Amino acid sequence: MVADDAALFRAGIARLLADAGFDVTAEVGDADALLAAVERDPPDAVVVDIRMPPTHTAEGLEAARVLAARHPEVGVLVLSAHVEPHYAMRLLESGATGTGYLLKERVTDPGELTDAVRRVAAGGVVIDPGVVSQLVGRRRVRNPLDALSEREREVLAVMAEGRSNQAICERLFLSPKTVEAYVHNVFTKLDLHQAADANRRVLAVLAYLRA
Amino acid sequence: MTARVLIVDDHAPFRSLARRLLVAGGFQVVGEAADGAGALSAVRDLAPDVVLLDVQLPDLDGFAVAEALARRQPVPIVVLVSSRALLDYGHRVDASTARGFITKSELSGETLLRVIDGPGRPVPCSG
Amino acid sequence: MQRLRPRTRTAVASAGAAAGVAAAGALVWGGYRVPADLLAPTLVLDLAVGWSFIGVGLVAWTRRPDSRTGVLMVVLGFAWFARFAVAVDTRTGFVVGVLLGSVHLSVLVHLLATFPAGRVQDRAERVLVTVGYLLSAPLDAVFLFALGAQRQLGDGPPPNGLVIAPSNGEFDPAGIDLAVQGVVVVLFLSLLGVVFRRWRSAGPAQRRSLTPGAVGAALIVVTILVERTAILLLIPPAVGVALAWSAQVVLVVWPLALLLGLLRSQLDRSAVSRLIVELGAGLPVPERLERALADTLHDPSLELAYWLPERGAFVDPAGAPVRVEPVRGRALTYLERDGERIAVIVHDPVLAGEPELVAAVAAGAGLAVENERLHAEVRSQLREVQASRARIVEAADGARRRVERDLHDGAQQRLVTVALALRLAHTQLDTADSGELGALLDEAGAELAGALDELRELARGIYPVLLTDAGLGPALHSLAERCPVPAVVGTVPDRRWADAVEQTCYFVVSEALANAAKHAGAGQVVVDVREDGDGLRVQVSDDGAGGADPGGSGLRGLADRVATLGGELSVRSPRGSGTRVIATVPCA
Repeated sequence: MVADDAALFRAGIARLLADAGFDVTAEVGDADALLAAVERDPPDAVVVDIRMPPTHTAEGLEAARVLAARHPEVGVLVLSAHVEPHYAMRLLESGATGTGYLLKERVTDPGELTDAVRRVAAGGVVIDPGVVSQLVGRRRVRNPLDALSEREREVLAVMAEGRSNQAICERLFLSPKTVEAYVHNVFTKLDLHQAADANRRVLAVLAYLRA
Repeated sequence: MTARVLIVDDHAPFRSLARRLLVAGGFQVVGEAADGAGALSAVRDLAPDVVLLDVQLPDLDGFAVAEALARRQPVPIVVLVSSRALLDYGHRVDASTARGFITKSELSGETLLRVIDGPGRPVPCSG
Repeated sequence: MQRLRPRTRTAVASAGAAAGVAAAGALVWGGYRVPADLLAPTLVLDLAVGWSFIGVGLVAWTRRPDSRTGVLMVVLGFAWFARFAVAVDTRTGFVVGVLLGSVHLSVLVHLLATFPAGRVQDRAERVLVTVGYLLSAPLDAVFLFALGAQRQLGDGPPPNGLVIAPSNGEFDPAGIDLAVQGVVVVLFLSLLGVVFRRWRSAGPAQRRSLTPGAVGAALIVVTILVERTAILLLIPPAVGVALAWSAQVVLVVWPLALLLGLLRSQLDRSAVSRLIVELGAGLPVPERLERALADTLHDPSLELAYWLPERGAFVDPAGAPVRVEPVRGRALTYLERDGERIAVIVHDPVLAGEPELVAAVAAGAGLAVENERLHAEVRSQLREVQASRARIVEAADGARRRVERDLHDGAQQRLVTVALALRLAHTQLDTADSGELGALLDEAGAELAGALDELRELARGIYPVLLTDAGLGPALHSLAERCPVPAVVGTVPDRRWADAVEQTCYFVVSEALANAAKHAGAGQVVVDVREDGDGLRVQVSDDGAGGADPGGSGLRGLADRVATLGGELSVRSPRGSGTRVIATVPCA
């Protein structure tokens, strides 16, 4: 299901997803229509623009939070033009599993978009790499990230994007055992508690990076 | 005879694409320059027939370069280009020594040829 | 000088009267033969001169106790009579008369050289006065005792020119006489110079008081000079006599001129009354109070500046800032009300000798000055608002120009490249292989991504969407995250304020962070936001080089922005110890 008030963009997304083998069940133009459509026929995942009528600010984000409460089984991917960690964390704070924050321009790479939709549909977390890199690259006076090795920092960044350990293995060409060790090291060195689920793990990492 | 062209623009990707477009359009691109001073010395060294000259350069502006080139012998044909529209420059293009003006997004071998062969008037372009 | 007590005044007046009578007696019965036709005019004029100096001197002494001029005039009157001792035809009379014969001229020099203060104030005056005294009694004593002046017996008029009579024109000067006369001429010329110089360098109010005395002095000195050099100048003896008489006449009137001058510089009570009446009638025009004070104090150059305590500065009646500092030739009198400074009068220094006068004017004008000060304050604020409005418009225009340039140089340039790449790809559809076409499209894609990045940054620079969506705290954290210098934002109260308040605080932090990164070379920046009774207070401190200019366009623009909300921006940036920018914005 795709919700965006810009018809051309919406059609483009639907086309990309259809080409990638998704079944696009509905296309809607605002948040109310989105909630109604999900009520009628809950899909596996929703792709929603953060800015929609009437105020064009963060309606998509609010709709995503409502959906997380009413339909926790529906994955929600929010598309945004803003590289703002604040929005990504608002999304995660709703406690939803199967949620994601992706920059609009990623749709120029159809692979990234379809990958993100699959992950949120499967209950995973997706945070745009641009948002993560802004947080990791932030200038600090005493940078606790200096204590990490380069590999550990890579693991941290990929973790913050919402990838599972399995996905980290594939991305960084590491064995599951090595990844587990790196993850453990990162959490120990940064004095963070290992969280139970993916959402809370990402949230903890992002909150740490923002602090 | 194919016309020999010098491309003057401070934006490298533009120079590269303009070169390929003009070559595809049957021109011979003999050199590139990134600023006004570079343009003047390249004209001296390469003696091109046509200078494709960006209006906004980091040092001199295109009009000043065109004026300096008009005092050279032989005088090359100067065609101004800009990502702004002709309208943005009012009468300055008309008043200049340039043969004509092309909005950058309209650039091709064909438009350049039209300006060079034209009656010395700028080609009206959209935008 | 002590105020003249009435008893002293009476005693001096009586002594003066007695001295005049004694002088007249000496002339009539002293033993010399005075030509009968000269006796009456000589008596009348001499008594008039002596009594004029003593009487008018007493008045001056009473009215202007701060000036010694009155005393000197009294002394001159007595010296004038004292020389009549020579008319008593005895040895004692002769000696006393010769010794005191020209003391009055010394006192005259003293009086002229030091008018109107009556006190020696610089080296030139001291030299003149000293030489003047040395030339009278001491020199006469030398002549009398060392050179043994001839005593004339009482069959002619008494010596020393006591009685002005035509001489026979014979003149056989000894060298020493010529030398003495030369010194006297030089002395009087210098005296003229001093008087003229003082008059020329005086302000309008001072000139007013100097002019009558100076004109009379010039007349007297010129006649004395001509009289002394009459023989050298080959002036007929009759003319010399006429000159001598006219000098006497001038001497009679001159004390009155001096008195007029002394009193002119003093506040006349009627002027103060007029001032108060005028002030009571209201002062609709800003400059009118200044003009009224100028008229009352007889100083057209007078300026009035009002003190604005909040701005810590003086402004003129129109509200424009003025510098008030001690300048040569101008004096400052501060006006206070309830112990608070409210204004300053910049005036002619001659008024500084009249503290009572200025105090009377200040008291009379106090309420009006306070009133005018408030008007000046309003005018000053109005000027400031107008200036800041102009700067805000200018800043907005500048910002639009920058956006246009950034769009043109950045995103537009890249989009043009994309358009050209697509056109090239189109022309090559049939000729190029798919690899070449793919590379071309990748190139277009990369330029497009660059254009998107630049547009996003530009849009965020124009307006931070997070500020409206989420409020000041998140927006400031986002700013700090992107700051090239490590920046820490303290806890920001989790509430929303008026849009204008949030935007202003955001731009204060944004500008301060940009300055810290670009100019200060700071290592760390701390942003602190808190709300108290006065409103929202935003503080940005860095540990950079300091020396930021609060008048620079960036900080000036912030101050204007903050001022439009009724807030205040303070910048502390001592060289070498960081910069601290604090904005306080009132908020409901």
